[in-house]
Amino acid sequence: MKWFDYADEKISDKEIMIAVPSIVIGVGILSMPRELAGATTSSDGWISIVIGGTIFVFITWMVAKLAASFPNQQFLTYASSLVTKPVAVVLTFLLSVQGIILSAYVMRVIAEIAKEYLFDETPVEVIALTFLLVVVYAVSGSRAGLFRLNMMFFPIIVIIAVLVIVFSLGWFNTENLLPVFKTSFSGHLQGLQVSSLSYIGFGIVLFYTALVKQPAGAPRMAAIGMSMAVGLYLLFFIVCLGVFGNLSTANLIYPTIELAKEIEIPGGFFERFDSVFLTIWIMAIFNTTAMGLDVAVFALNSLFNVKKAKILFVLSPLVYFIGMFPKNFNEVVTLGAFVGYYSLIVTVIVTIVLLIISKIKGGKKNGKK
Amino acid sequence: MGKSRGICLLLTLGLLMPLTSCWDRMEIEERGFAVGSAIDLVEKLDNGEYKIMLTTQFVVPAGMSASTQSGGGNQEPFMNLSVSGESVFDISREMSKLASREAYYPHLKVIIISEEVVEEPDLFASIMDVFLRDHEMRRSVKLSISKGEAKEVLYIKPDNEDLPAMYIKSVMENSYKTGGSIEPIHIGEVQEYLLSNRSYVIPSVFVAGDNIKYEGVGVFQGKNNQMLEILNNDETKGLGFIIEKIKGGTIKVEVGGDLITIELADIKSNIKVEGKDKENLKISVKMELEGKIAETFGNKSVLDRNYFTKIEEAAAKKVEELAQQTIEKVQGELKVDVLGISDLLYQRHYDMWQTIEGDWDQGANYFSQSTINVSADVKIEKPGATDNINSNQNGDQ
Repeated sequence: MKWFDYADEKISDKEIMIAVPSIVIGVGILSMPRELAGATTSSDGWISIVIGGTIFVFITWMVAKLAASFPNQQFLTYASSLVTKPVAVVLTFLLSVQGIILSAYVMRVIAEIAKEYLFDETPVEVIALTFLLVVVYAVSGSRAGLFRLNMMFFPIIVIIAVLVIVFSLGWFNTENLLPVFKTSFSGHLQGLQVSSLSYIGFGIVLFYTALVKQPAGAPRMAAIGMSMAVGLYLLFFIVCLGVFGNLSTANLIYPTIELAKEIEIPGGFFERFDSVFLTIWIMAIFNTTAMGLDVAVFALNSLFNVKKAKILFVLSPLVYFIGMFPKNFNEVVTLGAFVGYYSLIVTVIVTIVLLIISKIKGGKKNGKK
Repeated sequence: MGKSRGICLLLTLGLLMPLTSCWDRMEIEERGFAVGSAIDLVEKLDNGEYKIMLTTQFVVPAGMSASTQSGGGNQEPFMNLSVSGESVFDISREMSKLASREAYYPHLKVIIISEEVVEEPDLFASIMDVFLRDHEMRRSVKLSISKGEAKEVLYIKPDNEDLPAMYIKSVMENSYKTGGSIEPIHIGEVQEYLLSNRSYVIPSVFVAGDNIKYEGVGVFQGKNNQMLEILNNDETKGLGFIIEKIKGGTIKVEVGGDLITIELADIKSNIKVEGKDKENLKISVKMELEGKIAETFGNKSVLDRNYFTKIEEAAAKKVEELAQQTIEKVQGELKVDVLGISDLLYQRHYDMWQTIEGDWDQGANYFSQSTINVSADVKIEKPGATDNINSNQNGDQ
């Protein structure tokens, strides 16, 4: 009887809370301090994180609110009731593309990083393929299982992040944070722009809220989940700045990994802490990729009435080829920017349009709500 | 049925491939662990490029002291290899051919660069590039310049340590903690220096007989990362007081004809910039030091309050002299700001800094036109364990 509970593909709102930071925290934070430090003066980037973070916590809350106002209804179903079926189909398709390109990009980046720091001789293609195969294996299983995997991995990821931050404090120099409030307005705007790309992925709430047993608490939980990601970003950024200073941070390709490389734990046993950090961070990236791919499968599943395994069978090679398409690091960065802007624009526009229409229609049709 | 089973089998076998993960297999015995690197200048080529020599110290585990008893013989625990070339990375690859093992750098402890290298404009930055760019390098590797040939330093092997590189590292840390030398710097900091345009100092080592000495600092000018001069021990001390990069150390003072040595415990320095006129900035340096009496050559009672105050005053005067001497050197003679005033201006007077950034210690050189006032305050906490050890204390007075 007990295991039937697990198999019913329903999740609690707590799992939504963990799922949001699980997909959001991934490769973005590894390079985000560089982009942000480059755009702003001294340590002023934290302002961009706080402002951007607040905006995105609010948007996440809105997205979840929209989805939760149609309890246990799939995205396609409630979107159709708001903006006619054909439009809803297009929107679902656009959102599934987001999941595909997001997981493709993340897979490529982690393969590049793993090659750079862990596997010197192994070709990127092989690392990416191996990684993708594990992701596909996870996605092909139970969806609720994926959420439980998130629940299991997330604390470990938080612990390793906190460890890196605590051990870095020995190198932390508060002087590096001065002066404060010297960035121009355009600098802040640019900082907001580059940091906002690290928040993508919250669009999954549009789909997964349908699985939540009691969705009333989902908006709050999703917002809390997003705040966790924002908090972690803020900590990492400030510690990077304090340890490296603005100029070095702006010039390190992956400041967060270098942070793990800089720390030295007395005793010599953990002399190379960066490899421990990276290995565990791959779990965070695994979560991101798995959720991205799963949401694409989920979306397409609602469009085509075929088996999940079949969709996955078509999507996986597609993800692999999109991920392998960029020829060098600069092209990967371009792909990343494209994925970021695409996801942001699609998710935000879809949410706002649907919210407005549901407010207009809400008075008439959804009288009970 | 049979056909699909065959496909399944084939797929399963195919999946075994990524599981082997043998691309990066590397037996630990085959790795050449590099622990120290030294860089010397061989010659300046006609086309403006430089030919440099990289000496890398590899660990030879068989020669470590623990295993010598079991028949290691007279084998040295380390091996130094020198190769010349134009790029550090090429040289290190070239070295692998000679070493019979692949050089493995994550355990690198120290980098020594000879003064000849850093005296050339821009060469220092180009050499540091590979140490900061390569993923195998750690940012906590300690860096020092050497008076004389850098590779000589890697050959100094004292009796109590197996590896010269480890010895150098310990000497650096030790001299900083107790010897009054400046804090060792790591290459992560060097990147900050190179990226910013400001001037900085890097500690120096030199060979003294069978030992090495970690003494003095090289003064680098920010615009082309060229070393101007190596400060002597006293000047380094003075600098260390001003920029708070010294911990411990001693100063000797004379009070009433008796020589007294004071061991410093805590050093705080407070630099303030006053005035808005950028052509004549007034900078005040206030140093607060704490110490204890380590040694007295006289026989006066150190419990006498007046005498105690005299010692404190004499010590403060001595610290001021040391600091003043350093300031005269770097401000008057070298005209580069290694006192950290540019940092202070950037951090606390950002708006003014914007207007003088390019002309601080270059161009119009506002730094050399500014007035620096030094004052020191020494507090002696403890007289030591005893008042006097000389019995004829009354007879002498």
